[in-house]
Amino acid sequence: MTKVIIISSDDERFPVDIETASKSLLIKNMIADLKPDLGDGDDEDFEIPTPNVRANVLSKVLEWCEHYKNTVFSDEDDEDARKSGGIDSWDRNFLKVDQEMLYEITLAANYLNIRQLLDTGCKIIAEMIKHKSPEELRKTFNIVNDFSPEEEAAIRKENEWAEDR
Amino acid sequence: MSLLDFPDELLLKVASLLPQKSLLNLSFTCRSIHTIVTPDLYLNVLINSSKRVFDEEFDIKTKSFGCDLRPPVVIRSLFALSRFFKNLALNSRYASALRRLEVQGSFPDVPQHDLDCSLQAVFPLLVNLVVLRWYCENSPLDASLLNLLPSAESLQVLGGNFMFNSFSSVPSESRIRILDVSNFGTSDVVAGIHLAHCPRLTSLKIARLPSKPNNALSEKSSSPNVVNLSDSYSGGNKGLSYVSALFLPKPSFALQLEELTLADISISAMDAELLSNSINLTLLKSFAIYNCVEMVDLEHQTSHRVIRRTLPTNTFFKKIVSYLANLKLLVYDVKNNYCEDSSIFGSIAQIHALEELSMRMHLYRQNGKVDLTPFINKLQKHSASLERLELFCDFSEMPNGPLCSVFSQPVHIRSLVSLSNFTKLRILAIPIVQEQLLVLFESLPCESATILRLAVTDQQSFSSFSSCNSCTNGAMYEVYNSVCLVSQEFFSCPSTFGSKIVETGEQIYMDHANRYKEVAKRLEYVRFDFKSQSLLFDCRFPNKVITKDAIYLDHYDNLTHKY
Repeated sequence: MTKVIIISSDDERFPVDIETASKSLLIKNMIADLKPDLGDGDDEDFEIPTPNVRANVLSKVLEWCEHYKNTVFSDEDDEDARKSGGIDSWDRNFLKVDQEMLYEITLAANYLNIRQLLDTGCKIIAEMIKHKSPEELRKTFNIVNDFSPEEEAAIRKENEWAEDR
Repeated sequence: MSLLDFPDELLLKVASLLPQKSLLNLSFTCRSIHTIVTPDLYLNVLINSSKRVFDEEFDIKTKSFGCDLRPPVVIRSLFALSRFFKNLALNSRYASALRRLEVQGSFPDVPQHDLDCSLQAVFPLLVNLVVLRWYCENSPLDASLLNLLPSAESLQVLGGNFMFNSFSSVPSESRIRILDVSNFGTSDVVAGIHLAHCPRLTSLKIARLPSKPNNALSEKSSSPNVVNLSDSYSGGNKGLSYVSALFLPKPSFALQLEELTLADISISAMDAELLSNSINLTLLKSFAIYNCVEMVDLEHQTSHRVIRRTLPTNTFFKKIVSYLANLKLLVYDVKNNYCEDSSIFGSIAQIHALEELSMRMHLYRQNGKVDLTPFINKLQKHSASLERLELFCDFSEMPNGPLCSVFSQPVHIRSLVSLSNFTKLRILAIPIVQEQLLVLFESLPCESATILRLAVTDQQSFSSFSSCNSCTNGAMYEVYNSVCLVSQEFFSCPSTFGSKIVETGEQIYMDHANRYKEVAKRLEYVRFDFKSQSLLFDCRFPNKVITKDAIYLDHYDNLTHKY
C-alpha cells in the first residue's frame, strides 16, 4: 500500500494512508496537483514537509485523521449547522490536552486545512472563554492588562451600548 | 504560545462562536485583543425597543442571508442607540464592520430630527452594509437617506417601511437580491423603482401600507372569523395600479424572481398579463397577495345584483395560475365584488405540488351554513406535499336572512372529513364549529400535526343561556356577536363580561387541547380564535397543557415561521 510521508518541522517522518492524509485539504490538493497517479501501483512514496508543525502536534493531528478517515462529514457547506452543532465526545476527550497543545493543534488544523478539527478546536477554546469575567480571562490565558485606568473606563463606556440589559 | 499568538483570523473565528457577553469580556482583557474583536460587536445590529418575550420559541429567528453573521446585538434603549450612533460616527472601523442593520417593532423614542441627523452622519460611513431592514411602524425611514449609503453595490437586501419623496436609491447595476418596499404614497413613487437595474433580484415585495418583517405568511387581520353583515363588497376602494407603474415600460429582460409579494393594492386581470410578460414566472417559488382588491368585470350586468356561484373566467388568479406550475407557497387574500372563491380552488390544481397554502376566503352564506368540503376536496392533488394549510373565512350574509340562526353554525360539520389524507400537514388553520371540536382528532392528520389554529365560528358552549329563542341573557350575546365596532371594542377591553366568557371557555378548550395532544404526539401549540379573543395552549411538555399569556399571541407568527 502506497503511503504518504508527512515530515514535521523537527524532521520526524510520519507514513500514513492516502485516505488519512486526505482529511487535510492542503495535502489532498497537493496530491491531486503533483501526484495524481499516486496509489496506482506506483511504489514511490510521496513526501510532504509541514514546516510549521512540531512532531508531537503532528502525531496528534494524524491520530485524529486516522480516527475519522472513513467518516464523511455531511454538513460541510452548512455554516450554521457547523457552528451550532455540539462537540463530539470522542473529540472532546481527544482534545483534553494542555492549553498550549490545544492551540498548536488548532493552528495546525488551520494550516493543513482540516475544517472539522479546526471547528472543534475553536469551539473548545470558545467554551474556555465563556462565562468568565475579564479578570478571570486574563488569568486563564496569561494576558497582561495593558490598559491604563482611563483607557479602561473609556472602553467600558464605548461598549456600554452592547451590554445586554 | 498563548491566545495572543493566534493569527487574527483564528481569533475572530473563535470570537464568532462567543455569545455577546463573553465577547465583551474578552474585548476588555487587553489592547490587542480589544482592537481585533471589538468590531465584531458591530457586525449585526438589531434595534427593537418593544416589549420582550422571554421564550426563545417565540423569538424571531434571524436569518443569516448567506453571510455568516453572529446573532444580532440588540439595542433597546435610547441611551444605547445614541451611544451606538456616536461610536459609528467616531470610529470608521466600527462603521465599516456593520454588515446587517435591522429595525423591528417600535423604535426608541428619539426625536425625528435627531434621528435624521444621526443617520445622515452615519449612513455615508457604512461601506460594507449588506442587509438593511427597517420595519418600524412609528418611524419609517426617509427614503432619501438611502442615497447616502456609500457603496450601494454591496447592499443585497433592502426592506422596510419608508417615507417617500422620490425613490431613486436603487442604483444602476445594483446587487440587490431582496427588495421589500412598503408604505408608498402614490403610484408615482413605485414608478421610480427601476427593476431593470436589479438583474440579481430574486425576491420582491411591494406593499402600499406599512408592513412587518417576516410576513411571507402572516395575516393582516387578527380576527379570522369576522362575520360581515353588510352587503357584499360592492364598492371596494379602488387603489392605484401599482403593477403597471412597476412593470411599465416593460423591462428588457424577464426578472428571475423566486418570491413575489403584493399587498394592499388593487389588481386586475390585465395585471396578470403584465406580470407574466415581465417575470419568468415558472421560477417563482412563493407568491403572496395580501389584502388586495380585485374589480371583476361584470360581463352581463342585470338589473339587480346576482349571486353567482363561480367567478367569470377573466380573473387575475385564473390568468396567472397557468404560469405558476412550480409554486411551493401561495398566499391569496383578495377581495372582489363577487363573493365566491371556489373557482380559485379549482385553479390551484394546475400547480404541481404546493407545500404551503394560506387563503382568506370571502364567502357568501345563504342558509347560515358553509360547507368547506368542496374546497378541501379540490386540494387533494396536493395532499402528499402540503405541509401548511390555512383557511381564514370572512362571511357575508344575506341582507334579509333570519338573524337568529346566523351565528349558529356558519361552517358545516362535514368539512373536516377529507383532511385525513393530508399526511404531511404540520400547520393547520381552519374555521370550525363547537361540534367539530369533539370529532376533530378523528380526522386529524395526527402523524405530523404540530400547530393547530382553530377559528371557532359559533359560541354555543359559552352560552347555555344565550340562545336567541329563550332570550334571557341573549341580548348581551347578540351584541357580543355583532360586528358593531363599539361593541367589539367593549368586549376586547378587559371587562367582567368578556373575561367571564374567556374563563368559562378556557377550561373547556384546555380539555380539547389535551385530547388533541393524546392523538397527535408531535403537537406543540393549539390556538383557538373567538370573535375578539384568542387562547393559545402550549402542548410541548408531557402530561400538561399550558395556557400562554396573551402577549404571546402577538408573536404567534414567529412561531409558525420557524418551519
